[in-house]
Amino acid sequence: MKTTRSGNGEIVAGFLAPHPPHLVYAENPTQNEPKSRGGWEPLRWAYENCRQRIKELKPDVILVHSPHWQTVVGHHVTATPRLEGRSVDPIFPHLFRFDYGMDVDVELAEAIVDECKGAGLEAKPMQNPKFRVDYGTIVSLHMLNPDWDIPVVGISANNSPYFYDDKIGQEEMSQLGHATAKAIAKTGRRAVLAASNTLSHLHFPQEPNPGLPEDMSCEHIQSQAQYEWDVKIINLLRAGKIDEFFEVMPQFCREAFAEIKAGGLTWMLEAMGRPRYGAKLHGYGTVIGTGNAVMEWLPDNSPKSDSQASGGQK
Amino acid sequence: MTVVARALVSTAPQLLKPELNPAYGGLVNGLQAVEVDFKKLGVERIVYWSTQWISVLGQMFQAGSDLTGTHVDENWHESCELPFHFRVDQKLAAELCAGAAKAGFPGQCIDYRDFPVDTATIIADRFLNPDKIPVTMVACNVYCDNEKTKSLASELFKILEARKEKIAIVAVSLLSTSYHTSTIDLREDAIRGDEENAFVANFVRAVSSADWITLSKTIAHDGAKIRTDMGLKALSWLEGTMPAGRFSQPWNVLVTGPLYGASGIVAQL
Ligand SMILES: [Fe+2]
Repeated sequence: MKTTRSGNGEIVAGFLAPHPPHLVYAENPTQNEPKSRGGWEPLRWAYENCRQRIKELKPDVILVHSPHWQTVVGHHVTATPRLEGRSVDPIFPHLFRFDYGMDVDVELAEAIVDECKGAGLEAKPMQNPKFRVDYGTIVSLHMLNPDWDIPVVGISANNSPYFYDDKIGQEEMSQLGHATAKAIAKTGRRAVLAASNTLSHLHFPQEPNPGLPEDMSCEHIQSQAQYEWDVKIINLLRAGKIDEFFEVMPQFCREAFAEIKAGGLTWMLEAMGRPRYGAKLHGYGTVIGTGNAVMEWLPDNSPKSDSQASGGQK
Repeated sequence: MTVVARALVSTAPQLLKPELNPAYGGLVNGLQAVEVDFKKLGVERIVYWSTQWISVLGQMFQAGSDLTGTHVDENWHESCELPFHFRVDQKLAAELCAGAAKAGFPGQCIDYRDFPVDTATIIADRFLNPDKIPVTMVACNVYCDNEKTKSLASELFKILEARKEKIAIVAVSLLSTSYHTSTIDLREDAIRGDEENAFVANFVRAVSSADWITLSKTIAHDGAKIRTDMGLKALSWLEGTMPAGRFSQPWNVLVTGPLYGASGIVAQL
């Protein structure tokens, strides 16, 4: 675990890291009790690229903002050195019963809480080691780094986008992003951010084949309208059209019931200074009808791999 | 008649500190009065339905063979650490699940170690069920609207009525969910919002006088203006469990009160 370092911290990459538990189920890691025949490979292959990138970047910490840790009063941040236990997904318990263990970067977590408070936001450290970590946090972290050898910080999704309106809610997430970036800079961390969000989120009312949840012959987008929305959003992000993205986001959230409404992507993009460079799309796929994109933002000062250095999304 | 009691209750971690606010103490007293009543009636099974246990892919019925653990609340993790143990009637859960499927509401029985039981149900059970009467739980399906929820409840009611045990049906839900969104002194907790306060008063007046027309108007007009808990689906759930499929007798509203700005109620039907 890192000890105090001051100044010069930076965000070395950001990922849109969706968390359908199906992806972990399909991977068959030893930590997950249910076993599968695989499935959803295009999304899992996309995550393999991210893993490679994260290894290259050698970050000190991965931060994840998860919509499945919803808090009413302020932003909560995991701030106890070790969190371990079993997390059972309340929605898909037949797919996800995961024995997790994670080291938390407490110093950074506390710095985020302090920065939030300094900016006038409500914030609270989560210091209870018996706290059950939500499946959104775990799935994103596992898919990005199945070795679990990098400390983490989990950030809750404050309920403001649902409690108030889009403007107030996303403004709150924007401020949280700025506070997070300041804390990273002040503590000297090399940080990877993960927005744990699905794009379009309307899904099938039933599992199409309960006998074989990984039956890929049943997998498709819930509706054409939803697909077209996802493509539009992905293209805006690939082109770095960040202002346009934020402009259409409320409509996207309304019409496609997008999970990014919970604020993870806003938090990340704001922490990264509203990047105007293109994001790299590693893959897109559906999970019980929802649209999921695995995307990467690599700031200019980070080392580029061959594919990215040659232009592509720039 | 095997369904011998019905209650609508609201719970939250604040009720673990009733000494902090007389309103919390009032809600706790209300829950304890319901518990005393369950004892008098000889209740042998409790069926919980909670707005905090959500299902999205069909129905879910709690059939945990080992439903024991410590639950730390997602919001109040510093003060709300709840050891819990439920004796679950797995056969009852299976019967309800099969009956629901037959009626067009397919779903699954849940029997997984460390399944996250919701805070509200754990606290309700702590007050209503100190003797660990066997229970089961039915999830609140977000894709079942009020009408479908009522029709599911009617189907399940038939199954419950055919059982030999005396059964209590408990819906766990708030009325309004306009929480305080910043830190407050719990001693000063009060139901947030003028419209919410008016809604609660009108709601209580209507159910206490069996004025069901006013109740539906109150819900349709005033309820639409405030953040109700899951569109007050708890009422549809409870109504579906009435023998005639609708409310008839006045409710006995024991108390209403704030739960961090949200409005809570304890009522017997
Ligand atoms: Fe999700």
